[in-house]
Amino acid sequence: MTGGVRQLRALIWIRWRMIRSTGVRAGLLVSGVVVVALLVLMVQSAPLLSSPALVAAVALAPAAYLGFGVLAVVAPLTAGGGVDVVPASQLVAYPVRPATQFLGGLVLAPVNLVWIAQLLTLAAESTYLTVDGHRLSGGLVTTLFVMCVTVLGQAVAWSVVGLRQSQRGRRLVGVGGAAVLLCAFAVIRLDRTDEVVAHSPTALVVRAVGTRIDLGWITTVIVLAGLIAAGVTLGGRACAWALQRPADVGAPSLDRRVSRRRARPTAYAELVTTDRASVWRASALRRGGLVLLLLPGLMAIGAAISWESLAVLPGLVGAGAGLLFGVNAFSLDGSGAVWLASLPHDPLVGARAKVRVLAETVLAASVIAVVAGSLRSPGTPTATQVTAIVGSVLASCSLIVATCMAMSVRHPHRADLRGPRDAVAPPGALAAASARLALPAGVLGLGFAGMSASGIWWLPALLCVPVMVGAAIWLRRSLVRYGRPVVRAQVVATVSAG
Amino acid sequence: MEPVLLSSGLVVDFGHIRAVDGFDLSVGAGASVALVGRNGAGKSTTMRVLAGVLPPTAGTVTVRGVDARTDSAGVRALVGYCPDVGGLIPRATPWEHLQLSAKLRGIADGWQSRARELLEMFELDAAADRITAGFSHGMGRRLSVVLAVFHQPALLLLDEPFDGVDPLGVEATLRSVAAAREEGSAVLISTHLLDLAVQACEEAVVIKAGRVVGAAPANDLVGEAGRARYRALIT
Repeated sequence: MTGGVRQLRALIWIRWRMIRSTGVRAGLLVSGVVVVALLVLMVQSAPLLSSPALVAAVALAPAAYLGFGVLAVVAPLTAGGGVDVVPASQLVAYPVRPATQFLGGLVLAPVNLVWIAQLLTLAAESTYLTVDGHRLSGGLVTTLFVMCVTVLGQAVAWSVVGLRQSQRGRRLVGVGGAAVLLCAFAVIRLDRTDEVVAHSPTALVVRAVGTRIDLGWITTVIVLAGLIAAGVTLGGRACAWALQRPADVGAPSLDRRVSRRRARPTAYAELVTTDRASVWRASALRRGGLVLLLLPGLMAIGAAISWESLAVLPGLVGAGAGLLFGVNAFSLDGSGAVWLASLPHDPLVGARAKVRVLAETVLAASVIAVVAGSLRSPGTPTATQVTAIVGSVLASCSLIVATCMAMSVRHPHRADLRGPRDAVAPPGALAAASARLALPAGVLGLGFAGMSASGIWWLPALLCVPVMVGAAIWLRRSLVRYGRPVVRAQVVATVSAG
Repeated sequence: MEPVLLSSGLVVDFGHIRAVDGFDLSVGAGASVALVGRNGAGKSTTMRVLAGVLPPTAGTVTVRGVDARTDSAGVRALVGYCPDVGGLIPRATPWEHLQLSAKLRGIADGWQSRARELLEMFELDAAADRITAGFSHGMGRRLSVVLAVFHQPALLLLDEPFDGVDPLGVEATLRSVAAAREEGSAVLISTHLLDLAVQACEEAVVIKAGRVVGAAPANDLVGEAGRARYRALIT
C-alpha cells in the first residue's frame, strides 16, 4: 500500500498540472473551502433548531445514514469500480499498481455533488444527535462511518467488476442485482421501510453517534476502524483481481459486431441514430443510464412522496441525466469529429441531433422518476399539482438541455469513453457541472412544489413558460456560437485530440 | 487549365503561435503531390485547413474555383479527407460511417456496391459491422482512406495514410491513389515516410515552419543524394 500511496501522490500531482486554467484551479480550491464552511455552518446552526424540528430531524437520522451507505455502494458500481485519477488509457505505459487505482477512487469519491450533499446531511444529523454536548465523540463515529462505507462500497464495486469478467459471474451479479431490487420492491410494497431502516446496521451507528462514550461507542469505533483497515486491504486486492482477471468471450467488449440497420431518410435522422448508438454502445454511459432510470424511481416509490414534493424530482433526476454525456455532448463523436467536420453538411444539423438525443435522455429519466414516484403518492392529485409536475418536467428539462449545450460549446473535453470507468469530463469538471445543473434545477423544482400548494392551476404555467422561452433563447445562442467556424474548430480539435 | 487546388498566402495562428505561415500550393487534376516535412512543420494543420475543418487566419484556398472562405460546404463537397489521427466515430461501424457519409454528401442509393468494393479492397469487409473502437491502428487508417475516397472527390487529402499500415494496406492505398488520379482527382498526401511518398506522388513539396521551403520531382528525393537534399531542406 505504501508504494500505492507514493504513486497516487504522483498521479494527483500530474492531474493537478493537467488543469491548465488558473480559474479552474482556484474554483476547485474555493469549492473545498466552501464545503468546509458549510460543514461548520451546519454544526454551528444545530442548536438554533426548534425542539419539534429537532425531534423530526433526529427521527430521520437512521434513514440518512442508510442512504449514505447505499450511495457509497451505488456510486462506484456506476463508475465501474471507481473514478480514475488519470484515465487508464493514458497510463498503459506505466507500472501503476491496482492499489494505486483503488486509493485514487477513494480520494476522488468526495469530488461528487451528491456525495457532498449527503455528507452535509450526515454532518447536520450528527450535530442534531449530539446537541446535548458530546459532539466530538459523535462526530468521530460519523467520520469513521463515512470512511468505512466509502471504502467498503469501492471494495464491493471492484469485486462486482471482477465477477462480471466470466459468464457465471455475470449471471451471479444479475441474479444478485435482481434479488436486491425485488427485496427493495417487496419492502416498499409491504410498507416495511421503517422496520428495515430500524434494523439496519446503520441504526447501531446512529445509536453510537447519539450516546456518550461507553462500551457500545467504543465497540462501534473499533468495528468501524477495523472495517476501514480490512476494506482498504481487501479493496486493493479486489481491484487487482478485477483488473488482472481475463474476460471471457461473452464479456462486454469494444470488439463486437452489431446488426446492420437500414439507412435513415434524412441526414438529421442519420446523425440522431448515430448519436443514440454512441450513447448506448458506451458501457460507462449504458450503465449510468440504467442506474439513472432505475434508482431514482425506486427511491421515489420507497419514499411515497407527496404530490406537492413530486415536482422537485424531475430537475434533480434530469440533472443526473445531463451529467451522463450532455455536459460534453460533442465528445460522442470522439476523433471522428474531425472527419464529420470535413463532410459537406450544416454543422448545426449535427448539433441539433445532439440536442435531440440529450433532450430524449433527460426527459425519459425525469418522466420515469415522476411516474414511479406517483405510484405511491397518497391521494388523488389536484389540477394544480398536475400542472406543477408537468411544468416542472418541461421547465427543468429545457433548462438542463440549454445548460448542457452551453457547457458543451464553451468547455469541451476530450473523452474516450472506451473503458467502463471513462467519464465525459475530468472529475473536477464533472463536480462543477453537477452543481451548475442540480442547483438551478433544484431551486426550480422547489418553486413548482411551492406553487402546487397554491390551488391556482395556471400558476405553474406562469413559471414554466418564461423558463422554457429563456432556455430556448440560451440554447439558440449556444448553437449560434457553435455555428462560428473558429468556435467549432476549437470544439472539434478538443474532443478529437489524442 | 485551372488547378483543382489553389492555396495562396495561407496563414493559421493559434493564439501567438503561427502554425502555417504563407503556404502557397497549386495541384492540378490528375496530379499527386507529397507534403513532406518534420513533425510540427505544419503539415496536418495545413491539411485541416484545406479540408475545410479549420478556418484560416489569412490567405485563400480554392478547390475547383470554389472559395473556402465564402463556400466552405461547397469545398467540403469536393474534398475527401483522411485525418492524421483517428478520424472515426468510436462507437459506429465502418458500414455506419459509409451510410452517414452517403447521407451527408447526398449520394443517391446505389452507393452500397462501391462501399462493399472498397471495404473488400482494404480487407475490411469482414469488419464492416464491428465497432471501430475495437480496431487496430492500421485498420482505422485503412478505413479512414476508404471514407476519403468513397465519393470519388475532386481533391483527395490523405494525412499520414501509411502510418502503422501493413504492406497489403499500403498497396491498397497506393492503388486507390492511382485510381483517383486516373479519374482526374488532385491528390495531396502528407507523410513523413519519404519512400512511400515517392511511390505515391510525382512531386514533393517540403514544408518547414508552416511554409514551403522547397519543391522537387518526387524521384529526386530517392537515394542517398535525394535524402541528403531532403535533410538539407528540413533542417
